Amino acid sequence: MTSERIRRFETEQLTLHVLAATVAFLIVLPVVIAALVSTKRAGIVTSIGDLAPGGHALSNYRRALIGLEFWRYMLNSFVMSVAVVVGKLIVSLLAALVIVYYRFPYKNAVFLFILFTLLLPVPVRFVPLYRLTTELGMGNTIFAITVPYLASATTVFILRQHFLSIPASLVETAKVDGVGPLRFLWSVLVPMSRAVLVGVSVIMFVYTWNQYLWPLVIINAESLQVAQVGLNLLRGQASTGEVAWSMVMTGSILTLLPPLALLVLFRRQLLETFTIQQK
Amino acid sequence: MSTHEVFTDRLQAGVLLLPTMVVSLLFLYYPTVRAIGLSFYQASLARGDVFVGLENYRRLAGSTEYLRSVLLSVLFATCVVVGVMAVALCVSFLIHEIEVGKGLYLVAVIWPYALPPAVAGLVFLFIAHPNIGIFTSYIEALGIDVNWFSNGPQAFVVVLIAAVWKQIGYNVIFMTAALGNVPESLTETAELDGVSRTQRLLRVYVPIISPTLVFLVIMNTIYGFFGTFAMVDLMTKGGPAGATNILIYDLYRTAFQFYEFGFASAKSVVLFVAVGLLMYGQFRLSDRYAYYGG
Amino acid sequence: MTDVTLQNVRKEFDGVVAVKNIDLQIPDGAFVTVVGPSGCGKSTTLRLIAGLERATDGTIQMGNEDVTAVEPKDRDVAMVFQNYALYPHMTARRNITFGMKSAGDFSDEEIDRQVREATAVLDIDDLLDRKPGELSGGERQRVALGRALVRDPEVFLMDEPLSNLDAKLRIKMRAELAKLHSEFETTTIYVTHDQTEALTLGDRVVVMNDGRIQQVDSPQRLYDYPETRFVAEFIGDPAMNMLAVDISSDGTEYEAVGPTFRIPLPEGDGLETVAGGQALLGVRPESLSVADSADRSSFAAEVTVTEPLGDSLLLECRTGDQEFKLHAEPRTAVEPGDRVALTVETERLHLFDPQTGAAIYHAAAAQPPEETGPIDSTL
Repeated sequence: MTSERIRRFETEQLTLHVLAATVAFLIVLPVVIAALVSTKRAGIVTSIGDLAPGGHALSNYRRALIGLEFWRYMLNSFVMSVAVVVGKLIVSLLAALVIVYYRFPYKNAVFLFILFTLLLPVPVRFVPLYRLTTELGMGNTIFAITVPYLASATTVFILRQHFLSIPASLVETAKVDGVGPLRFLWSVLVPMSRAVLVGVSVIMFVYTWNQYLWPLVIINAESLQVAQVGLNLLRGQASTGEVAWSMVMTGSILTLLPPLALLVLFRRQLLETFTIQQK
Repeated sequence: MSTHEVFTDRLQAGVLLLPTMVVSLLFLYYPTVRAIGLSFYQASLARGDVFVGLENYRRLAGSTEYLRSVLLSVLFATCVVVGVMAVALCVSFLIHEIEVGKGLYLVAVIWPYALPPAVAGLVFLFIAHPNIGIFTSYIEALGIDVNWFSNGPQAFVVVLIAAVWKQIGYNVIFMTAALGNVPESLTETAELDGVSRTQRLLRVYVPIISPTLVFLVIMNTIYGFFGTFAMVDLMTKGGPAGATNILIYDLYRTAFQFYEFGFASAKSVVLFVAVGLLMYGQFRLSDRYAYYGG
Repeated sequence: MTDVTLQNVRKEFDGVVAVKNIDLQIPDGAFVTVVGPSGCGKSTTLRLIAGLERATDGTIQMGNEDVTAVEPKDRDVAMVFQNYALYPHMTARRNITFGMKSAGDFSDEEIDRQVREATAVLDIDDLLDRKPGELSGGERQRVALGRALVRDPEVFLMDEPLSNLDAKLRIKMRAELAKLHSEFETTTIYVTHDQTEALTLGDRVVVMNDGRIQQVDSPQRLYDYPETRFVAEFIGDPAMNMLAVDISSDGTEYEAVGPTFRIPLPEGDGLETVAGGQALLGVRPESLSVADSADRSSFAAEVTVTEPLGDSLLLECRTGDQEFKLHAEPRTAVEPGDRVALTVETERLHLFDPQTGAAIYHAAAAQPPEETGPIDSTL
């Protein structure tokens, strides 16, 4: 490259960096504002000048978590999310193992049966599901917000795609050597699928943690409620006086942190897994 | 002729599949079938079920309020899809073109994938608040009266912006991955031919990543219909005067404010058919674009 | 160690017949190579013996036991794959012992002893703590062999085990496999598409095509007495030339007659059956040579391409409308377009039926060498 071309290239790159930084700033800005407000005593900011961080971060978070018992909602969300992630992972691993490594009649029909559930997201069935879970005596329990989530077409599909990319000769060797299917799953497939398992776990966690509609309708005891819905309760409880908004923003930041932390920590595995999902 | 299918014990296969099948049947298929059944009843928790035939559907067809909600949802979802994908495509292209330091920008724009819709709703409710919102005074200085608690179109726009914001991350994840898979040689050929950056995006990249774009159109449409429930619930409650009363919110209110389960089931069935048509559309479209590889 | 017998074995996949009713007897301790073009059914045959596929029809016996319906793990076979099939997350040692430990048929001491012996033989003792990703292709294949060896199976099954290695390493490993076999004398069935491998390794070579066995023989007999046109053309590189000829006879002497040549055929079985008819004359490239002077069996041809190979000069020639190749002396002064006189080593001629491809006549058949393959010597 001539020096002129190098200069042109550098100017272009600089422009791109400025643009990208601006976009990134705009996308992060609302949450930065929320974070700043969560450090102030009164949550009223009506101009950019009001945005200077306050000194009440510690007391705000303590009040939200302990005083207003937001820890309870967080804990419920954790229990729900971890139970769904672990349960779904086990159930889906077993299903994917069968779908890839077993030969049996009507296999394609079974796979289609699982895939077809993609057409049945919570919003199209929450009304009858509400009746069903209530009739089963599961209404208003932890089971109501975990068990119905355990079957997952997406997770089975991602695992299946990944298993199919593992050379068949590995399972053939195992078969000739007398390694059983569960041992093959545990000692070969799981260790070989670590990145994908982490990736799907993050996807499942984010999905479960962010559930709003179903817990809203099926859980009516506050002590069992999850953080998403708890935020609104927090708004109600704190709505007396001007501190309300800093409390709501404090709760919002608390609710955002767990999935955000997982995304930042495991972004490599997450991106890898998303690439599989689309195939 | 090598094969993955080396295990043949059918009983084992059945046992291992059982959890997925039972949960799918009980909590996914059965409620759907039941929704169809229930849609022929007038059903409420208190009074028991009364068979009314097609009455619920007749009511739906004749309801201008419901028709309005349908049109509103379609408009809203369309705006979400167009808005999200336009922004995300520009952002992804920007990041793709950067040589050094991509990773940092990527994290800074994909994080809203993890953002809970409820949090997105509350944060936007706060920063765009008609009275105490941080930008309100600046916008009003431009001569626009911020009053979306009572102004329908404004409420629609504010919820839309929140919805787009939350969905950018998900789209950028897929778009940057797809752009990253475009063969380097094509980029170089385009550059040698003197094709401008914008032309390269529109004439070279977009056609190549079209399978991904089709996939995202479907995912974003479903998000526009369902994923924005929390935002509507927390920001506008469907108002003012039904201006943000999208189908899923309308359905929620029918079932859990008016306790009309039969009528709500009929609305569920309509939604189910809509999702089915969407998925079928994706299936057909991605078939057509299959030759681009994916 | 055991012998393996396939009787009338057939395998169909969704109506496509991959193996068409083959019979094959593999003696105890033999090293049998199975060779053929891709899709000929050789891998399927191996997988049928391993038990990875179930035969649609026919029986497979090991020793005196019918194993047709027996699970692979109960057949006491070990298999080595082209892509090594090593578990990438396990060390070499764990790769070697994983199957044994899972099967639970071996005690820990036994496993330790076997691993020590096998790794010493294969010279991989100091690689045992590495993972496959840290090993070269050759080292990986040694580990894969180690995994097969430690189980001390009745039969080794190898599916193109050297095909992923580069040419030099392939030759080296080939010699080592031969050495291993002479040491352990375990019955080995080795599938390959590479005829050199098949000929150098096998006491006995099975040539397959289109789901059928074409011929089973010792390497040299396969080369000298191909039973079908397919075997004649598949074994040997460049392939045997096939020239369409008429067979003329004056009652005692026979000649293969082409448009531009008449080649006398030494007396032998089968000649009288084709006299007066048509046949394909099979001539290997090394059985033709450029003549110093014309004689009764020489004929003229035009050189179309010359390929100096160093140790010989490969000529592509044309006579009439028939094309063929031959190995000439290196540094022979010919160029494309030259006309040359060629002579034929008449003791190395073959005739094939133009319709069925079956061999009719081998010029050397008058005195076929007695079969004294290494199979017998190992017994």
